[in-house]
Amino acid sequence: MRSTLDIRLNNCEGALERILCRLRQRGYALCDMNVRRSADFSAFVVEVTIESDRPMDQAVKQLTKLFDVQSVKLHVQHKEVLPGNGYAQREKESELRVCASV
Amino acid sequence: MTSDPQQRQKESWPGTPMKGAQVLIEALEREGVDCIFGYPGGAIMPVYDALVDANLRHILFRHEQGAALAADGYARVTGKVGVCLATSGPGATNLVTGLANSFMDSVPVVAITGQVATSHMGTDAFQEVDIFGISMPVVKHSYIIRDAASIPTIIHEAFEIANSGRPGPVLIDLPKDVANAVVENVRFFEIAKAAPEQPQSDQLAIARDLIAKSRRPLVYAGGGTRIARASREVREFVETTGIPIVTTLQGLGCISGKHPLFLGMLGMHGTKNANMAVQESDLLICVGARFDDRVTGKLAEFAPHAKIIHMDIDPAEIGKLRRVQCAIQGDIKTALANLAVPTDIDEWVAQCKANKETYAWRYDNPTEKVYAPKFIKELSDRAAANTIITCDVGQHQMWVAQHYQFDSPNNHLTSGGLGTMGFGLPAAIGAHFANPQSQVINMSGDGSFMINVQELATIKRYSLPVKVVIFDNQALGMVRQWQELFHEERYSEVSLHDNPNFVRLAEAFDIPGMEVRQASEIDGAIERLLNEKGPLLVHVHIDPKDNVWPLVPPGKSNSQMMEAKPNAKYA
Ligand SMILES: Cc1ncc(C[n+]2csc(CCOP(=O)(O)OP(=O)(O)O)c2C)c(N)n1
Ligand SMILES: [Mg+2]
Repeated sequence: MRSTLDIRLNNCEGALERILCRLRQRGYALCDMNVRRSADFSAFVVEVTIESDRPMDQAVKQLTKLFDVQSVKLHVQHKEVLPGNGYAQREKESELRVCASV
Repeated sequence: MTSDPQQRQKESWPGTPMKGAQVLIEALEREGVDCIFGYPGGAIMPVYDALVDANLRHILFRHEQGAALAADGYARVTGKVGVCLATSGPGATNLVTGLANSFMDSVPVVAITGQVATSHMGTDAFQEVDIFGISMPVVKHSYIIRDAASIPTIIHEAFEIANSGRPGPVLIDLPKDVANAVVENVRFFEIAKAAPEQPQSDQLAIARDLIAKSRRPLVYAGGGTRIARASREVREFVETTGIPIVTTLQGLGCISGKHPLFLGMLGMHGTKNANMAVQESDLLICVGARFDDRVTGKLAEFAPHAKIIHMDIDPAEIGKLRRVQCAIQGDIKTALANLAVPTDIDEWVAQCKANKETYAWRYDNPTEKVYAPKFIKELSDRAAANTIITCDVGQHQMWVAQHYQFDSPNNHLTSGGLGTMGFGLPAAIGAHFANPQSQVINMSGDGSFMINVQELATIKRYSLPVKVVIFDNQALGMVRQWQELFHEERYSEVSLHDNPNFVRLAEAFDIPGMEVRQASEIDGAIERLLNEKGPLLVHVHIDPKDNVWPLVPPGKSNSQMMEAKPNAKYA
């Protein structure tokens, strides 16, 4: 599944890196990303599209846990799946089944 | 103490200039830090200079990994933040295993690393590594301090983050020029701990309903009970409802190992009755546990008939691996205290208790050799209740988990999530500083012991009464067991037949040692272990062929436990 998230985070050293690191490590492949600073420069406003077999609400929860993250909104769930995504492929092979959340 | 952040902030010695490093030490002291574990070097020298005048105690380790794991052990015992200190470059990278260990087991640690001066950062300067980047996936949060005036704020925030919600390690990288910079008007913060989030009442109501209707409920308690210090609430819940309980490795001790409703540890090396109860239960009450693969075996077949109530402080754990019927996010103490309802489960409890008896451990060893589980059980029966056991990783770790009956999860220090060989000795030292009144015993293996063996020097230096028991099977036993069972006995690099003479090794550090070769010597060895005033190393020779049973083979369901072969010595 492919989804777009709206993330707002503190404009702090490493904050952007941290969200990318977390998404990659938890199994969400990056498809697209847009970053701008808020008008007062205190925050980053990020729109990121990710793809994974894993539930998207887990990505939201994992990002929300980060100290620098102010808010995360799951804003578009894309219907069609793009072929040849490395993460999704590997996931299927390794037979890991993650159940949907609450 | 006040929770109002504006009130918390208070001015201190306006106008008194301090160096960044002094501010750091003062801030640590104000957080209640009484000792820190570390190793000096170039970039952290300003902080070591400030330590000369500090009120807190610095304990010198012989490897930064030792210092980090000691901070972890200290934190597990006290529930307070453990602090470790290292220099830049290799000092910082040596901390990483310790940080990962704390991250995986949710242990509150603050690690402070020296860094090259800000002007040199990014130039491949001598002993420069990007520890902020290297450690990112294994910390809860991290900082590079760019301005000495922000030190009090960052330290205060770091302690709050490390020990609130789901605890974890926080790294603070301190460039040398910032440590040396002079701050004119230092402002400090008073300690204030945020209250844990409280669970929602509608979910508690759903849980009470599920519990009342269940005929085969079971508590599955994990490390969250240790972190929340919820042993009393766990016991009261179990006793008022009469619901049997199994625990994970990290949850051991949240209910006494001797409690009649305790069925043992579940999972890969769990007891047969614990795993059977899980597989048959119709309601699993998961308290601060996370459906780890060592616990569930084949996830799709784990507790197949059970509805799930999942209590955790971390919302990201709830529903991560298993769909739940009731999600209780927040403080598990409050949750447990609000879930006691009358139950009608006599038949189920009788069945669980009967299985517990049928599959009880046996210690009738037919040979003269030492059987490690028997040694451990004997020690458990005779040691004081407040004895702290630290473990390393391997077969001996699982034997301790199976056969030592813990009375508190804070007395069992074991590296669960990361499985860090070499954890035991430094963790034991950290545990001693956390609680000098308790006897501390490191139960190690001949492989694991050698990984942080240099910390014998730390024991010597501070004359610590820490005890070490090495179960010597002349092998990386757990790996050997897997090669035997799952790799057609193709043994590859697991023999440790040429181990050093551990007693002589200890003597080189002025630590007395003794050997145990026969079952008949166990009694005397335990006597000495429990009565020796100073440190002691006990080198226990065990049968290299002994395996850990039962065992759920990798990828199999927990109902498919392998047991010792019928012709094996210990059926
Ligand atoms: C640092 C580290 N390296 C490798 C491993 C993999 N490993 C797990 S158990 C084990 C063998 C442990 O040997 P020993 O300490 O003698 O314990 P035993 O299993 O023999 O009781 C190894 C190598 C590990 N857990 N940690
Ligand atoms: Mg061994």
